[in-house]
Amino acid sequence: MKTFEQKFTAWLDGMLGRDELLSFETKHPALHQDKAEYLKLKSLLRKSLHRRELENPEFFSSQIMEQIRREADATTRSSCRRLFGLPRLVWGGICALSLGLALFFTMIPHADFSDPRAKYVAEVLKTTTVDPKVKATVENQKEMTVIKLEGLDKLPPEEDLRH
Amino acid sequence: MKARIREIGWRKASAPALTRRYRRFYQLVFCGALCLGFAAPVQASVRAWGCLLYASNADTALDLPPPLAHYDVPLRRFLGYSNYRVIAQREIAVENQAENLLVSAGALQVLLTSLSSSLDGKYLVGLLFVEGNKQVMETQAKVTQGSPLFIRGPDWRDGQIIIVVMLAPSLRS
Repeated sequence: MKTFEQKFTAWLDGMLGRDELLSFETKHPALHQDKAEYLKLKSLLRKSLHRRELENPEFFSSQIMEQIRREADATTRSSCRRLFGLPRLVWGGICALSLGLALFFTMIPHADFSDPRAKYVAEVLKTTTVDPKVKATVENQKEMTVIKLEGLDKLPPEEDLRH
Repeated sequence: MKARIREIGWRKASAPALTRRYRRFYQLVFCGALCLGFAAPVQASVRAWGCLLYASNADTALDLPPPLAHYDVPLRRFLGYSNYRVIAQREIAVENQAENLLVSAGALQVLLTSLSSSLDGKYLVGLLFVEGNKQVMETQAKVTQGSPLFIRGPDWRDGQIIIVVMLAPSLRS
């Protein structure tokens, strides 16, 4: 899809195809006068000005290339600044922090585990005693699980258990 | 002389490459240290704590260890004793599947015979209670970190020995 400028310059230079020329001229009839003036000026300039060969054409091309490079750099820098600008970074940080906090408080259980009523109580699966005199019974309470050993001999009171 | 100039030139030219190489090396070292830092707590995450309490109705102050600080009311209610004193306690890092002595006092010994994690995120622990050379009781229980298992042991003096076993991430704070 050609822009108006592309079509216009091609039209002035007589480079438009037949179909394009027809559609362009029907769309912009007012431009005929401009073209006539342009052609008049062109012929006038050709007559009065002598054609001169450029002595150093590389200079101009290097200037043009430098200009293009400068413009391209400026565009990249500005797009970078737009992407990673300070306000955006600040907002990004705030959003990430709030998301992290929200996930922390919603996904991670934070019950008071030091409270016996708030946590899982141990579950005894199996108990076996070697001595038939000793009987082990499991008492499952709401806050704690206790294995009760009955039939054990009483430890001698003089036995020092601290050593 | 020419060789010397060439050497200096080469050094100057290769200086940024060397700096880059050093920077990469230090980055690798830093990453390694970071990985180790994260891996170390995972390895030492399971610690077992065992405790022998002397429960009695003697007129002495309550002396519960920090992991049982909130159990004063349930202990009094369910075991029927008003006072508890620590006789022995020990915390071990469970590193292998071999039998580990968890806590002992006199002839009483509590051994951790097995520890494995179950599919529901809890742990299956195997315990052996030994008195002298005699095996008294062996039990297998499902616990979580911070859920203690209480065993009412033999009577002693005017009270009773209570064995407490608990898994905890770290109790050395």
